Amino acid sequence: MAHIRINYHSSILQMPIVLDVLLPQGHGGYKVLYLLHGAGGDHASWILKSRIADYVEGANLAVIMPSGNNKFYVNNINGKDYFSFITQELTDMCQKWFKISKESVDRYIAGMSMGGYGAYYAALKKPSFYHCAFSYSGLLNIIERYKSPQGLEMSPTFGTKQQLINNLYDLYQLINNNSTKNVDNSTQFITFCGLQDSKRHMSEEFAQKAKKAGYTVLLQEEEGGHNWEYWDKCIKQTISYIVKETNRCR
Amino acid sequence: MSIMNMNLFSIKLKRMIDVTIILPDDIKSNDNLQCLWFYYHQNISAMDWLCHTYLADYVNEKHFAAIIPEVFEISSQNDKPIIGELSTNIKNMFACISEREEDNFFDKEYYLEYEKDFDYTYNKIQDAKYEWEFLNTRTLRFINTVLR
Repeated sequence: MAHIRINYHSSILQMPIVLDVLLPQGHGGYKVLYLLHGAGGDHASWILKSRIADYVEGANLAVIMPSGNNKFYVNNINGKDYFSFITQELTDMCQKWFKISKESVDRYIAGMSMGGYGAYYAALKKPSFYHCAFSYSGLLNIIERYKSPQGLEMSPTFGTKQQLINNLYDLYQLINNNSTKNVDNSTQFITFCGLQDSKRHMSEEFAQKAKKAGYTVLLQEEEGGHNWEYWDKCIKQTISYIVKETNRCR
Repeated sequence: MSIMNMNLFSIKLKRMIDVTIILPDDIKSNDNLQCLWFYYHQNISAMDWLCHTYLADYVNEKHFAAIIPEVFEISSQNDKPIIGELSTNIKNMFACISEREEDNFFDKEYYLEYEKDFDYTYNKIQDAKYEWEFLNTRTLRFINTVLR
């Protein structure tokens, strides 16, 4: 398996971007996982803080890890278009560069904390674009997070609280909006949360409401906190899940 | 352009190796880029190509892929198995790089000539700046000679 660090100029973000990629050295057509870091992290977070390189070895899975720059992976109201970057440009560029599958059924997205919100936001905003979306201790109630920013500047990203609501940054509004428009979404939402996580209620609330709205949701709660020790377990389980799915489809 | 620093395992060398890959900006979905492989003398590295030559700009202007393996064994007489393995890896992993042999250029003669000319010239001039100008000139000559 190869580790690739890529520097390139994003035309959507209009700035240089760095991303880390784990790519199998075999014959191509791989499933691909877009893996998002949390607040304060960057493209190297997953590589440095977890043993993902070991877990991916032999899994025939490509992993793409971009930097989110604390911008919640959304098109910022007073800034750059990170949602468009992740779901359009990055996907497009990776498919042009590497021999990875272009099918939605082979495309996954995951993230921890802020990245969990980003993964679910992308999966709700682009229905059926991803086969599965995984959230590890995700900040799934963004309005609650907006009220308690913990040092992050929220207004450049979301604007005022009213703008946050009006622009459908809230995952529950997205769910309601999709329901109103009868949007079909085949993406499976798999939510991991540690029992000792102070934001556990966000994952439980999301699982409950999304299920009620007709989404396929799985909530997995186990021992763990809002920390890398737990997220390392999450990514290991995620990769096993994807491998099992691959083997089942053969 | 995109600069990729790749670290992967070589069965032939039984260790991890570093490879720098430069791709142009405007890659299309069905692109089959011609690929130029750059050997280099042990005194310099892939970073020198990026810092001291216009190689990255040439990649964008002339729309090809450049590969700079950071493998010193390539300078030996037994480089064919290593390049063969690396070439296979690149073909398997990259969708935008041509798999055809006639689209992949390994200028061994360039390398040997570089080493001979550079050592002679460097001993005469003893000037690092001259080395980069030399490298850039030879790089451009290689590109212009082989690309369609």
